[in-house]
Amino acid sequence: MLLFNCQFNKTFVIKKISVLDKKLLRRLSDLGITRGAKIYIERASLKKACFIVVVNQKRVAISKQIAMEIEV
Amino acid sequence: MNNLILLGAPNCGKTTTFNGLTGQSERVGNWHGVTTKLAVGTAKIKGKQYNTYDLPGLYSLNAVTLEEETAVNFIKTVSGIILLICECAHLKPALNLLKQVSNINKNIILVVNMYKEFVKNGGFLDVKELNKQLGVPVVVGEMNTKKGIKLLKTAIQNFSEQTKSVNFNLENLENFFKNISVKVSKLDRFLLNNVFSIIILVSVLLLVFYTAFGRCGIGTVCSNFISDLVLTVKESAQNYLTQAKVNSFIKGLVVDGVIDGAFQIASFLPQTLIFTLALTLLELSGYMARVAFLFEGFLKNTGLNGRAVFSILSGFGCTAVSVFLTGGLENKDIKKKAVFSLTGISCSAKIPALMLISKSVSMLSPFAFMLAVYIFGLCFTLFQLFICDKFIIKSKRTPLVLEIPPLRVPTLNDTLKSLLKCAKQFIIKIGTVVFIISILIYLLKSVSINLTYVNGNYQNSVLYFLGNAFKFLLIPIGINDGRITTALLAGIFAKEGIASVIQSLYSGGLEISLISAISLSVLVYVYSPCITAIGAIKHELGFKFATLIFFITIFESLVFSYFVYALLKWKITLILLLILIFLGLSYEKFFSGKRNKTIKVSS
Repeated sequence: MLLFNCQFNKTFVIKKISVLDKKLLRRLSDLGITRGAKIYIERASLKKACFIVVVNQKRVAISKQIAMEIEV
Repeated sequence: MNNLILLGAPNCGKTTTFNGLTGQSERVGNWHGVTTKLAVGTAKIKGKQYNTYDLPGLYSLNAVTLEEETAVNFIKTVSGIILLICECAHLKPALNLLKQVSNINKNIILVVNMYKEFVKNGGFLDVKELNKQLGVPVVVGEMNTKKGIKLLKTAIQNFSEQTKSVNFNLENLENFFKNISVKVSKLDRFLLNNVFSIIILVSVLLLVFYTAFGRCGIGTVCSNFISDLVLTVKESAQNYLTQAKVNSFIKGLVVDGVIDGAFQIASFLPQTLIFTLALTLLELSGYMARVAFLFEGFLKNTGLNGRAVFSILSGFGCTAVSVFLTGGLENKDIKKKAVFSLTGISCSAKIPALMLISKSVSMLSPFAFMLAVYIFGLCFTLFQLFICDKFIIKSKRTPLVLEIPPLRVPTLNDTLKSLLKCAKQFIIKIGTVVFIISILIYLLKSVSINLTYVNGNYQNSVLYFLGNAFKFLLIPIGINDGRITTALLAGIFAKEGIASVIQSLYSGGLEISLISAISLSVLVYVYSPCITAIGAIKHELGFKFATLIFFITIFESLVFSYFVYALLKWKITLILLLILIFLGLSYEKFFSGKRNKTIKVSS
């Protein structure tokens, strides 16, 4: 299931990250968004344009584009 | 080893520590991307001087943005003591960075910041055990306090050169470090809610505008007080100089040039400070990151992501500063787009000019006038961004990845420092650039081309001829007065110069119609940024782009002001028809190619 389609206020485990941009992948990795990490989906903005997730003791805002490339 | 290099993740307190060590007041904020340039200072510790360097934030040595590349290159080339600063709650990723950095430079002091907040929220850290396990000095405390800085200075003083790299197993961390769970502030339920967030944002903006420009707002009350004070000084000076039988040229220079031209501008300081206060509180509380989250979807069609909100909001303070903040953006094309958008944001230096224009429009209150001007400005900026993304700078949009910091109450110390810095810069500007412009305008107003004193006969002065040379540019907005073109020319050097010149040349205030006033305010709002901002653009993006921005903004300001005048003066349907024709032609030119594509279907 894609992170974009997940319910809020639940914790999931990241199975796959399909981001092709290496720099973006590195940034996600720096923030703890890696395969196997536990990710809590807190909320989304209007029309699900941006999500706030909690991972590795950090609240991170990620855009819809990234949420559609993370499988949980 | 007389170099101190401050390193760490974004928003962990590096600049606060830098300010504490050096006594400087570099910009701080509770969001990622405040520091985009290397800051240099000198720390004095027990008689010894240390060159201190504050670097932009780094998560790891694998740089992603332009500013991170700067930081990584710096560490690799400059030796000294590295002060690796981290937030106590984010110790684990900081230790990863520590391991990476120790392979380049073994002289490291780990500074664990925001310890009190961590313990208050239920966290635990055995400092002695951490010290023992890492083998590097560890300083734990609050770097925004004198006590914390004193502890750090002691550690630096007692530091001895290290020979071994840090080799620490992160799995052992759990034995002496218990982290806290992330707490969502109750306020965040409203600030991040899709409905309440808009209501709160609009309410805050209206409050700031009313406080600054409202009839009974503190800004207007203080501004009127300063204005009355300057008027009293002007009258006293005039009486004294008349009694002392001083030459009329000198009397005019002091009264009209200096007092009326330069000092009167000081009356706009309260409104500028209110804007600065609002921006400071936004930055220090952590609200900026939340605005970036809320506007991410909105900025999608402009080619930028939510991060651009930081520089756009800072543009309401100073365009030059917001240009430097674009250093945190991902690549040069996105930076160019963001800088292009900043030209549509009115910095606080334009407030005096816009307020003077609003005074000539008695039908509208200054509050309503300024609000309308700023709303127009925001719409214009978004329109500019849209056009830029679709037709001028086409680049791939980078999705937003941004850490949301916890909400914090801004400290009185940081808030006052920011306000004092703003007041100091404003007063320095009045005392330098605006003062010189006032004197120059008076001199040009008082002498003819033959260099004879004209004694109030403006039509024979050099200024009259200078202003009239460009007067034709304002005729389409119903203004046939060269004095206003002179004011706009002065505004290229400093935006406060516009108000200064208007004040000097119009003793009774501007005498223009409502429609001309609105068109003029559009022109003042949109036209070229000041020399300082152009210099900042040149520094960030090169001379060619800076020159392009200069001419494009002047062209845009004229075109838009003509359009607004035509819209208000003549029938709207005619203008709309012209727009539709233009859009139709543009669509044909830019999108007709796509329609003619054939799709091959495999059998």
